[in-house]
Amino acid sequence: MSPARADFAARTQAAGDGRGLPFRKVLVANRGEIAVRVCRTLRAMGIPSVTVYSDADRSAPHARAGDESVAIGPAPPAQSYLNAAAILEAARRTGADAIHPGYGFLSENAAFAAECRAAGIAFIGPSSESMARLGDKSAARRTAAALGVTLVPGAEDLGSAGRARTEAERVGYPVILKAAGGGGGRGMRVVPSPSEMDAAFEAARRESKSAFGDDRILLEKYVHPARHVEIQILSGGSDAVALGERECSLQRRHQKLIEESPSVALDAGTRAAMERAAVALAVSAGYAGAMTAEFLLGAEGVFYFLEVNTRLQVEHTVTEMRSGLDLVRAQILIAAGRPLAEGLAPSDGATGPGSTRAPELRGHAIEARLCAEDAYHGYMPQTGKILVLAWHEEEGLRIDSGIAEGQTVQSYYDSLLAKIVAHGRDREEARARLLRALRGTALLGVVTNQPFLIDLLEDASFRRGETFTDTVESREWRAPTEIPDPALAAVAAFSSAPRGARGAEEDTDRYSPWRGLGAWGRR
Amino acid sequence: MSRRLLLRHAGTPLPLSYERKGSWVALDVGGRRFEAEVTREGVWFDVRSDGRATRCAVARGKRGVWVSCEGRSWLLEEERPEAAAKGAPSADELRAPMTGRVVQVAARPGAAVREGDLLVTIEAMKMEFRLAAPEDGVVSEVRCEAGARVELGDLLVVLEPRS
Repeated sequence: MSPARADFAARTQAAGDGRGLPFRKVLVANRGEIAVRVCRTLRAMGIPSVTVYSDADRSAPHARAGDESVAIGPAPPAQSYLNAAAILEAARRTGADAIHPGYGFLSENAAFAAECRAAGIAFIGPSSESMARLGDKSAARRTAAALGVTLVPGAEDLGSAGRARTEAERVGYPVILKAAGGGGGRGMRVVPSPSEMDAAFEAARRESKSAFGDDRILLEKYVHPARHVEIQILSGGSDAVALGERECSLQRRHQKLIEESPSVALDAGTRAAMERAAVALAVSAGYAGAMTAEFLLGAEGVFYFLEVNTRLQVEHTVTEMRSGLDLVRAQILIAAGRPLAEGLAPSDGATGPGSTRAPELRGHAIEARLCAEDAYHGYMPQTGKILVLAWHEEEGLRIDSGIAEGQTVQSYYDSLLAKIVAHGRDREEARARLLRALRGTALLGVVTNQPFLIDLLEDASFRRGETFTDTVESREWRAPTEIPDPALAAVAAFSSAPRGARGAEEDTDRYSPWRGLGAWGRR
Repeated sequence: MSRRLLLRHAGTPLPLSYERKGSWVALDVGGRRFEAEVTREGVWFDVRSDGRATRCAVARGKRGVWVSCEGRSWLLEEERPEAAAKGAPSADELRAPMTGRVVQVAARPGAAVREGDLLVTIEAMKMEFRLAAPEDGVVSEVRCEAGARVELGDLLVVLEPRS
């Protein structure tokens, strides 16, 4: 565990403040790194945890990250992690009285949130009413418009490709199609011209249906060049606090690769305006929990509202590194009906009188998403058995991982393996630290985007802060072809070592996320 | 005594022979010579040459030998004589580039296709990937169907190139 991770764990462990909450046991309805991460906070708060796993995830780290775990069905998400009935049954069987949905899967499903409550189980997230008002992209656009927030020109609830063509003509090509009921890039398609609309519309619909069980599609004018900037909100229902921004412009397939805070492109005035808009959205919906409002930042500080994510986001860690807060703990406290000030208090137990002011945001944080994909060949997803996994460790570095040596990365789920987050006094220090972490990490057995993340962070455009939503995909990135001689020397040394003395064939689990977590990690 | 390794990288043979005495390793890579001290520490191989130290990791898996060095990694296939004799797979076989599920099969047996025409759509990790014809030709066989699960390398479509 890196010192920063240790700090983070120690901070939350000292708290143990889950005792006295109305939750006896929390079920984490997710997988991978986020399930592991939520369990860590639950443990620190002294709340027993349950994880769930599909048949394909039987031996995945998250299946062992909680105090108990329950099999919920076959590998396809629709039969397991999206299977509301199986998850509620797992909660009943284990006596869990609250569910943390993580991100993706059922996290933004208002019907599931309502089902939980009907079953007497708390949903750690907003009410299904505020979720319906803000989480649904079409409804959120209407809410934002009513609050006077500028929208990207577009149209909601397109029933057919024909309707989409009509609306696209009205706002002008290129346009972008989005799943009304989801996020995370699924179902999104940029359509450059009318001839590509039919195929794009059907593909967006299929992806949306398969990922979210909802095939409503909306259309927006495709604004570029633009930056993706989002505001993190913690809201107590009637009062909300903004915790600064994250810039997430570097994306491929509309999925984020690198996120940072602060954004180099945001001046104090624009930041304040964006924060005001995000707070207004939260308060207008009586929102209780963690929320993110996403904006497109165009030239000269003009910004447009994109959407609200009514859940914890993948990149919430960037905000945690700058604020010192544990956003999962804050979510749990808010869901338990505690005042917002408790969620905003440092989790080291030294709770003062409580204030609903945002904590000071310190330094600069950058996150890189390590994914099982071949970035040099169309970001093609990759599978394989992880033969070696050794993380770089240093102060100011946090690694949230959902993988372990010996585990097989499969094709059923998202390609995200781990998040590597570096904090520094300034952007350059954070960047250099993240590069050291990426260069010093060995992950063998499955192709990942690790070298591509290094390329991006080393690129002159990133150094200059010239990051736009089309930066990644508008350029051709080439894999290094030459294998360096030191690597070949290592292969020679490996090959000539007697069998059994080769590192990768030993059961080296020293860097497993379970190390240092005590007996509960392995049962 | 010099030893040879029969390796391929990205389909290209990588002629490599080496000598080793203790931690000293001398390589011959297609005529280029490289000498280094190589020591082990856990999963790491520390390679020192000309005053420069580099950390590498190596592992052998089903698909070959993986090596990583400063955050970049390579898969070296171990060449077998019979595989070398067969040569590279013919360009008119469209194989699954990943494990996943077939969403849509656009290719019809006997149909003429142009380079770039959609043949098969595969879904993996909840994203759709479109596999297109690598050149003009005629679809001679379709070996997959919508809804089926496919493994990496499975034959999906055979294309007869236009002569």
